[in-house]
Amino acid sequence: MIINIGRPRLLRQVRVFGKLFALNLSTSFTYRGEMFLWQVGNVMVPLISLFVWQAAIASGAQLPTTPRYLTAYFVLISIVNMLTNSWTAFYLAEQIRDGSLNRYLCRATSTHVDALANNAGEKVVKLILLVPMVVVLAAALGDRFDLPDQLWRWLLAFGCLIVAAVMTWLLDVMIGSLAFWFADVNGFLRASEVIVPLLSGAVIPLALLPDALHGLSQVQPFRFLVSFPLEVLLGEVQGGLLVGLGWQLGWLLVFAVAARLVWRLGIRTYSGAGA
Amino acid sequence: MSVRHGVAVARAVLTLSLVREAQFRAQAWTTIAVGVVEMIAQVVPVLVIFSHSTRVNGWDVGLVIAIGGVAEIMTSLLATFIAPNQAKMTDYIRGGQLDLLLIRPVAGQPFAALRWVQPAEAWGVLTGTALTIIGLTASEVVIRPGGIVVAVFAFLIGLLALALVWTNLGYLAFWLTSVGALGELFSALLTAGKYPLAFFPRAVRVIMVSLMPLGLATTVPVQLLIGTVRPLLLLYGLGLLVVLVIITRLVWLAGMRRYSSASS
Amino acid sequence: MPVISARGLTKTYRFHRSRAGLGGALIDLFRRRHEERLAVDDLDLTIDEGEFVGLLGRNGAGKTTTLKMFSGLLRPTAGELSVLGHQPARREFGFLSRIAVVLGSKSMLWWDVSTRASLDLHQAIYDLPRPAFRHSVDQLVDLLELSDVIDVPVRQLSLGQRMKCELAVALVHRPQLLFLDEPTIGLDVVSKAAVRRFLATINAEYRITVLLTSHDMDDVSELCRRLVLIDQGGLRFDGTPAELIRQTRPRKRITLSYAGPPGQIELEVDREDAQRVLAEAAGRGELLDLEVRDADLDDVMQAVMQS
Repeated sequence: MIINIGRPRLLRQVRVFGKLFALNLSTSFTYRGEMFLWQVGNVMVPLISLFVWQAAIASGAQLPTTPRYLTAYFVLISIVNMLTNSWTAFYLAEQIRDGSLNRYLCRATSTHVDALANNAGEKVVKLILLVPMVVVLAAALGDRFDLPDQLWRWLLAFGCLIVAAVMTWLLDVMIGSLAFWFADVNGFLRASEVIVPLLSGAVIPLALLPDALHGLSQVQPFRFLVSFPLEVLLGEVQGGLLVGLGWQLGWLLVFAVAARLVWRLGIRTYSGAGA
Repeated sequence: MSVRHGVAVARAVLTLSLVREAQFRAQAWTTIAVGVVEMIAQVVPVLVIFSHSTRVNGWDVGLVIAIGGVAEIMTSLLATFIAPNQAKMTDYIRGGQLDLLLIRPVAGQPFAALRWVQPAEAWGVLTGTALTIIGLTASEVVIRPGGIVVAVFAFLIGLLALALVWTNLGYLAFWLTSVGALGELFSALLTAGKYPLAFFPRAVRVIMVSLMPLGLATTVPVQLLIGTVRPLLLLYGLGLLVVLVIITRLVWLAGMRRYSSASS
Repeated sequence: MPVISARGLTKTYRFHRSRAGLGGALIDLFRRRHEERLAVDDLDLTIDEGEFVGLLGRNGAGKTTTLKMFSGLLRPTAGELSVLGHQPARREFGFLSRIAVVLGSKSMLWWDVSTRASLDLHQAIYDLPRPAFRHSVDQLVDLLELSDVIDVPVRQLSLGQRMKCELAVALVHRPQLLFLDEPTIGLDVVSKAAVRRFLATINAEYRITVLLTSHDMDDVSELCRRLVLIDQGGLRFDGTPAELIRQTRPRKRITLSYAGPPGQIELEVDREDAQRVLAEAAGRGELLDLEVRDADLDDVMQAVMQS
């Protein structure tokens, strides 16, 4: 018998994450065909928006941002969207509903490590597929937008991107956890798939919203899921950079606490059915 | 298979799907709520665009909302009848479950195409119609009853054409493996139908009236309603439809040949 | 100290009953009928180290629920429960690292990769020192004869091979307590025998306490030295298989095969009369074959479940 007290919990989880990440990376690679097609869609949808806005500009619309900002926004949004995206809610709800959560509950590791590793692993493969497409698009539109040349801006934006990705994942855990109380969470998923992209800036740059809504749109949490990292990169942060960073970290804390609470409450009512 | 038989099968399929939907209580309630939210979400981008300009390429806000409404009806009908079956196509073919369908005493191709119905999605038809009416009223358009008939006819042609294109994409599962993602890509591109053809560059417009006949399903019906386009355009639509029907049947037959020659 | 100590263990479920037909389904949209079901009712059970216990009962009797409470998957509604000195529902590392759970119908392995990858992962999960890990893997591969399949992606394995791999992965961290839910379900005769051999060995040699639920009475009769019968959430019997047989079907079965009439006959005879009947049987004709046995565990379980 092996007597084991175990190393500090965090260290253990990190090791497990590392191994799961490698596993998921190789598994995701076998689905590169599907992922390629998804990324095509990922690039095309903002392109549709870009066409529409360019038509508006050509008809004489006076926008609060420059056409160059708009073009840069729509070219880069596909990468930001992909890197912050999360699909955990659906699968978590399924696992709760059919009892396959048991697989994770009876092992000495967090129930969420696999989901995180899957998220990160797939994104690596998707990034490899997406970047060439965006480069082609950027080349085609080359002279119509600019990118910042300060390194610190890129690094800071990347940091905000990571925080945004974590926040999106935490939100997903919360929505998925609703399956502890509701038999079917598809309605909630659909609702969030419609509302969140609007409020996060994935559909329209938040800068383009009417002035009256600017105050509200700057502080609501969903801004920090997609729009904020992009605002930081392109140098036009509504309401100031430092204030924005403060808000993002604040909302991150709120999401983390809320997700943990909802999960804790939910697991008490878990009935492990289906097995 | 007789018509009476076909109707009986259709009724049974529909009843089963309704019972299935009603099982998920939360889903039914939230679908209605989500439908309302989606309707609002539809309108917001358009409102934002038109808050900066009153007309874009000759279209005003009301008409664009109307097109959005028609697009919503189109998407909902496709999601109710076509999408669920296309998603299953890969399973049928890769998993050999197509056999189970083919041994049933009903015509194979239509049955496979229409077997699964998602009635909850049909709620979008109501919200879409509401949007269309709101949009047309806002634009103060005078509508003749004849115009409505022609417009609905055009819409149906466009809808059927899209359904056929999507079905054909599903049939690629006879030859390729990543077809599920192809259907999702198609679904994502359908969102372009929310805007008038005039908003897009020329090259894209050509695609939107041929390979992906979105223009026929959304822009053209509204144009027929307000009288900016001649009904003769429908002849083109019908022609396209005939071509698509022939292609779809040929692809299915080719696929079936391949399916039955492969053994597993 | 006992390995499992349960006192007054209770679990209630809430569920809804759906109404029939389309009309009923529509009514359900507005008003659901809620019911509460008592799955486990005031159960007292003590299990010591090294025991091999069979948890038996009808479907829905509460045995799987009990197993899940013991392994920490479910939180008890009431009662006291201590497993290896811990409260299972707390899911502490000290607890989880000393138990193993194998669910026959649900796989714990990662599907697209080899068993070795799953083993590797478990090394990280349970924080096993490398040498001890390698030694454990070698032993398990040896006992279960897995050298050919350990590097094959799991989805390509047959059911029998998969179950052996499940067992290897579940036991690599050398738990003290093993929970098995229908481990031989769907397996062919050879695989079943291999699994049973393995379970008997680890129980005998490594003193791993095993709690098994199974509908396969051959599993039970070969492996379990103690049977716990659960019916409608309550404890109906707790003792050895022999005691159960004697309590429910105490009569002996005698099968006689004669050369001439009456041919082959089966008799059910009280124990005290057996000798007298045998003596008489010999005198009735030319006896080709004679078999005396206790009632089958299958018969016994049927009798118990039908009462």
